[in-house]
Amino acid sequence: MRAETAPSFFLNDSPYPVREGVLEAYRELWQRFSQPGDSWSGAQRLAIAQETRDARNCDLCVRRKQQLSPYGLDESHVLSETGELIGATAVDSIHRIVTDPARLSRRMVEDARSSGLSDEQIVEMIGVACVTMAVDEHYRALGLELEPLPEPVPGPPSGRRLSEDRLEIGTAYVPMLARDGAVSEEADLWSGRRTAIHIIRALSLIPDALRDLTILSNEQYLTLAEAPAFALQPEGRAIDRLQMELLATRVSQVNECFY
Amino acid sequence: MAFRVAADMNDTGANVSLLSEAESGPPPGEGQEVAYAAELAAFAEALAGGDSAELAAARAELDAVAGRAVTSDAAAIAANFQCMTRVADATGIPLDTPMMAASQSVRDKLEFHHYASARNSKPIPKPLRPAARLLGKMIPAILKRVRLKL
Repeated sequence: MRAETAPSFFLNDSPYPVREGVLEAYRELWQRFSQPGDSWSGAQRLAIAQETRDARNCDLCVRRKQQLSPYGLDESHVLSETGELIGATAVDSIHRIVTDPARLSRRMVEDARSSGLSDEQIVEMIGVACVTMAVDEHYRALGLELEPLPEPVPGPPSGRRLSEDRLEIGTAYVPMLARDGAVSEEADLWSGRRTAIHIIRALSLIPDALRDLTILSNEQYLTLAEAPAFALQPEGRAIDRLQMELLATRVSQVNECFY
Repeated sequence: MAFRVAADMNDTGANVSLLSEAESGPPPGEGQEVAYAAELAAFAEALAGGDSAELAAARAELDAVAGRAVTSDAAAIAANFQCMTRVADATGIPLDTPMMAASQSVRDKLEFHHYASARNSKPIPKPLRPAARLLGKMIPAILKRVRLKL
């Protein structure tokens, strides 16, 4: 499902009041996803987004989730036209991220590497998939129809890569920018702080993927400056900080996320 | 840990027992230190659980008791953590050491160590656990400084 014109996110007929800042962030993210990234083209990034949506209705994922092991079924996804753009391993990874988050493991990343995907492609894929999911989940939570995905902007990926000496390898499944690595073109990544916790650094191998996550979280949740200020009651919200953390913790519990 | 710290910082009596109630959250009328706690918890669980009918019912319940503005903001937060949990577990990041130390008692109470993703984080060595517990108690005081700085 693709939009013939620019995406709207205007929600004129919605019974729910969604803050304009949130909708502006979604418009910006859709525009960013349509552009070539560092390791995937615009068409491929939108294919990742489409697979994120398709995973919700995937029969194989339903059956796989019923297995004792997430790798208990020796079956592969039948690739759609968009799936063909990114390949079977990327499709499989995206479906696992969406439908079986509690059983994600190092194997998913190792399988992706073995199939020929670079660490940069893996991180960019995770970023586009997770941020798309966050936008869609907001709409699904409110019972709204999902926004159409935009048309891709033609062009190859930039191929930009961070130099290896700036990376921290081995802490996570994927390399991350070192704690003191937010300098030069990446000076904005820790939002002006000298260092950052792991959840901020998780996608930093692809700086624009972290920027996408920041655009999203600043509006859906809190800014990096606001997050540690637990006594702060965010302005313009209908819920208070304690209610926000209750929601966050409950979602994390259902997803069995230790972090 | 964030919930417990927020409760301490906001001088409420809310505690982690709100997070360890049965699937649908604390019963109506209980856990009222957090307004609409039961309905918010049920809404978050329904979204993460993925069942459309349960989600519609939880949304209608939250609408009825709290109003649509609350539902709208609650949806944004829950959606954000649908994303953040997946970023954390797909990339395999460990819990940061200070958070690991500070949240030891909460994690024990809620039995988070059973989660598969716990394997990404090294447990605090036994000799350091008393210090970790002390750090956990100090966290709200430390974070009050953050409030003063903003």
